[in-house]
Amino acid sequence: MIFFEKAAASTDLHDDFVVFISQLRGAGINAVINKTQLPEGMSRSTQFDISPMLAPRDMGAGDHLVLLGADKIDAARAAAYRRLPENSVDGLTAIGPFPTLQSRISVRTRLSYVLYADPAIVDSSPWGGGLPVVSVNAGKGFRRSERSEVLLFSPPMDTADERAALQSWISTSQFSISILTTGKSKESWIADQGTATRIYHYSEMLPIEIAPMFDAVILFCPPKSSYRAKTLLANLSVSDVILIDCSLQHRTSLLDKRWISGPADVRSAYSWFAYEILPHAHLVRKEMSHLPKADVLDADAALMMMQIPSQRLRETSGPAQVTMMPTNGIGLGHAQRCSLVAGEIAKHNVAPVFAAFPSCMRMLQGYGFDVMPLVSRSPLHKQEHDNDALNRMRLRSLCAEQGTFVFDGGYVFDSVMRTIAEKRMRGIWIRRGMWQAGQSNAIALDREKIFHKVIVPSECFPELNESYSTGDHVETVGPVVQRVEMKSRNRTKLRKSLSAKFGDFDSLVVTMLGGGVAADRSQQLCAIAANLSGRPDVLHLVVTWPTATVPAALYGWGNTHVVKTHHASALVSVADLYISAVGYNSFHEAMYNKVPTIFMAQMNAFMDDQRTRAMAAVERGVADIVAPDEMSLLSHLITAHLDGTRGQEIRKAFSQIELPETGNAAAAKIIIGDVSS
Amino acid sequence: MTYPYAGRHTRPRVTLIIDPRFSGGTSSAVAQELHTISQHVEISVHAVSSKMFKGNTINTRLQAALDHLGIPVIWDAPVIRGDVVVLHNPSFLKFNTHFKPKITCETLICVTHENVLTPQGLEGFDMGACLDMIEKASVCGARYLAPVSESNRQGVVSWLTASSRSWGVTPFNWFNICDFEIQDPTYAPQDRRGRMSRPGWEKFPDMATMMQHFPEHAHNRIMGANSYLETPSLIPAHWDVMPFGAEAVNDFLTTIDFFVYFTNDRWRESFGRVIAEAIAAGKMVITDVDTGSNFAGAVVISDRNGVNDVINAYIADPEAYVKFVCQAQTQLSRFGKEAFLETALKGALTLPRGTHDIF
Repeated sequence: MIFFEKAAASTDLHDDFVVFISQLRGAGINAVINKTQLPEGMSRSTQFDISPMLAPRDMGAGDHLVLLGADKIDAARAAAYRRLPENSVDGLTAIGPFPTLQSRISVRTRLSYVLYADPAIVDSSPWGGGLPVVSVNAGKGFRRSERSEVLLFSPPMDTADERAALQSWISTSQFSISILTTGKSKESWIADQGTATRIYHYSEMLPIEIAPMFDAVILFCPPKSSYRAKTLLANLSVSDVILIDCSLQHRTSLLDKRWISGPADVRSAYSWFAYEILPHAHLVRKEMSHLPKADVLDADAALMMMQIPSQRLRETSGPAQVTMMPTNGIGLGHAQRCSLVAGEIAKHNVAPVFAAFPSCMRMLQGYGFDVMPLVSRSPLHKQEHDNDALNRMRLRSLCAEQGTFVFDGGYVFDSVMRTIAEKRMRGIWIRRGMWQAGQSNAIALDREKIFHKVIVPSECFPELNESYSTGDHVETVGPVVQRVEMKSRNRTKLRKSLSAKFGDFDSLVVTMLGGGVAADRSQQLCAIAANLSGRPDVLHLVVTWPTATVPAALYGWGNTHVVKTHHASALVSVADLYISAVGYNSFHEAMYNKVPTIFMAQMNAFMDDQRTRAMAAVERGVADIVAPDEMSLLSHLITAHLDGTRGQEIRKAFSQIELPETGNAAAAKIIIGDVSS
Repeated sequence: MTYPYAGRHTRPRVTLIIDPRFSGGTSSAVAQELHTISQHVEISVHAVSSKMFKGNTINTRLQAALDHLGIPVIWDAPVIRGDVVVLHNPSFLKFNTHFKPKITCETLICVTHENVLTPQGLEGFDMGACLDMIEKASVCGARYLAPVSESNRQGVVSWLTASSRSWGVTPFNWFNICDFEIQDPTYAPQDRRGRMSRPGWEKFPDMATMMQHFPEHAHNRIMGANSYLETPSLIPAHWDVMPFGAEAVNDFLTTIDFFVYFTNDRWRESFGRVIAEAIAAGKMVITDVDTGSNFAGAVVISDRNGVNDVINAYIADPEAYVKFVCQAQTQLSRFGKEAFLETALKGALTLPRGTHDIF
């Protein structure tokens, strides 16, 4: 391995350092950073940049040490090197501003006294004392569609007039637009224009991750000092991207003939690009292919300059082609939905592998899938995203280069975004709807740009479907739901086995009010148990996920039993009455299995809009609803169901409505389609 | 003593150029030199403030010698004259880009206190740049490099041959005058070991060697261990370590019987004044073959692994210990005042005067 270290803790250039190493890694070079080198107070973005670069072990024989800013080596670092065991490194390179022979001799002698080896000295003065910009052609990533992906590099966008000028670019259907700008400009744009435009800020992802996303780049303002932006430009310059220089002075195109000079005015640039360049893209590319690529240092030349023998990264194991990652959410709904889709995928001889939080693991393993555990958030972590930084490492180990990554959840984690970008994967987001009105979705929707497809499992009633984003990458499928099509014989068999276990009964009531995370339902559960305790002919099963906390008071009722299971659907399908929360899965299971249900919505701010969902069924006469505090109404409804004809009425109403085809197979097909394309 | 220089002055004019702020042996050597030669020549001392010792104050031993002899120090004079100008340690210019004073003399001698080459044959500092500055600043009949020892001479000659410069090398060594008070050795040597030096990492071998040379069963004292003291948790419990200058040299040496002195493999002493101090104090010095070459017969040469055997053998045979140390002390006369006057000073004043520059 090539260990890169900063010679002094005070050495600036931390971001440059990280970008430089990411470039080498992007070129397949086994460059790593020592864990002891992490400075305090790194930005969240830098933490995600840096996590894959951390050395998995201590430096040892066969390794090469590269010391950046070696002119400033401090006493602490020198002392640390001196404590290393003998033969800790095979090679040593010192980089820093060493314009004179004496400066080179000084650093050589200082290092040789503590490392017992003479370093190769690289003078960084020609690059202003920092690091050289290294270019990497990372190839081409996956595209959402046939349309060209065009990057507007630093367009003017701070004033209303400038934003208006960008509208012609944004509203075009000829190609897809993304904007690269500063964090401040991005924030201000989203506040002003929303999240419909794909917009990146410079530090959002590494240059090696951004460059492969695009087919053409329009440069409006070349970077002056930002090493990160210069590196991105270098990557674009050596790739097969159409390079357009629309800056005022056209310096980039003057220095590199592969760049085509275009109008500096944003509006004119659009017309010129759309009508003069794009229709002739193939000719432009052909012409470019005859021109020499930019004279920028590539990774191999950088290694040669540092007198480092090339050491390539090795893949350690066969990575997963399709990785599925459900968020853990409140219950296990995301994981269950994913497992249904994964089951369909498996029918196509593709074995998806899961990355899942501990709470979901048993269920997924129970369905026969391989699961790599992810680390959950913990108040014991120093930062709230520490777990996600670790998950980034786990995901990058698990996922295949250019594989498929399926994420099911509301908030797209940094680890997900970075893994898709770094591995140039086909990102697929399974995103159910019914977000609550007034909920801020800006961050979630901003991250949609990383996905090549968004699969929206629809709600079974059309008025519940709402689109949060549009485009041909968004595909709506039927509700993803477990449909238990149980034959009458099996239904009888299951009820008999329940009788054998719990005693004879005439009516089966199944209650699922959630795991107690979103809302405490212990009082309601006890009230139902108390209500049903006077009915010896009723078996009441309180069904929860195995991870849920069950109130102790529930265990005192004769005909109420707690069942902790991942297989609630079968029990629900044979119930005479189902009392349930209104999560996506439980709601659709009730609808598709035509079970008479009393819904009790959970309306926590961070959840989906359960009340609206329940009302759609109530209005169609296929369910009842009670508020959590309407215990007397609940009692009345239970009586209506068990003693009256309410259950029959609902079954009759069910027979009069038509539900759309489930979307399990369709979702799988979209994912498989991407795999095979 | 008569010298070839004649004119207004009855005695030859010898001018020393130094940066007197150097904290180590070079300043002590120059102090001793002033005491020795001031009775024989017209001496003047010019001080140059180089970048290398920026922020340091004048060495106390040197200041004491100057005060004692009543020699004023002239700082950063624009012109420096003398029949013979002796510039001590040209490496003090290694971080400078130019050398301001103009030197006018018959003979210019640069005393190479710092080794020009490392043991691996690489340049120890940019000697070429230092000499360029001195050449530009001087008008003289002849320019010489004066090594401080035989081992130092080897590097000077090799470097000069490779660099094709028109500097001569003095046939004599401008050695450190070792005029220390001679003390009797102990007649009952014990396993009391020590070493002292300036604190830089170049002065210390690797940790494994240090552990071997200062083992748990011995009484170990290390002065100049500032670098170790930065991380006290890593200092072995059986080492008594102290910073540079924590004790007077003689006081420190009275606490040990064996002076075990090995340096970093990538660096060597050019003279090894500290070795002479230890011998004079009646201690047995054990060192490596390169460092010991300047004190042939006065030190026990050992490879790094043999130190414990040497010490055990001499503890078992106190008579041999005493005999060896006493013999070593007689050898120090090679570096005495008389020897210096006879070889170095006389040699300097009688060097052939060339025609390097036209007056």
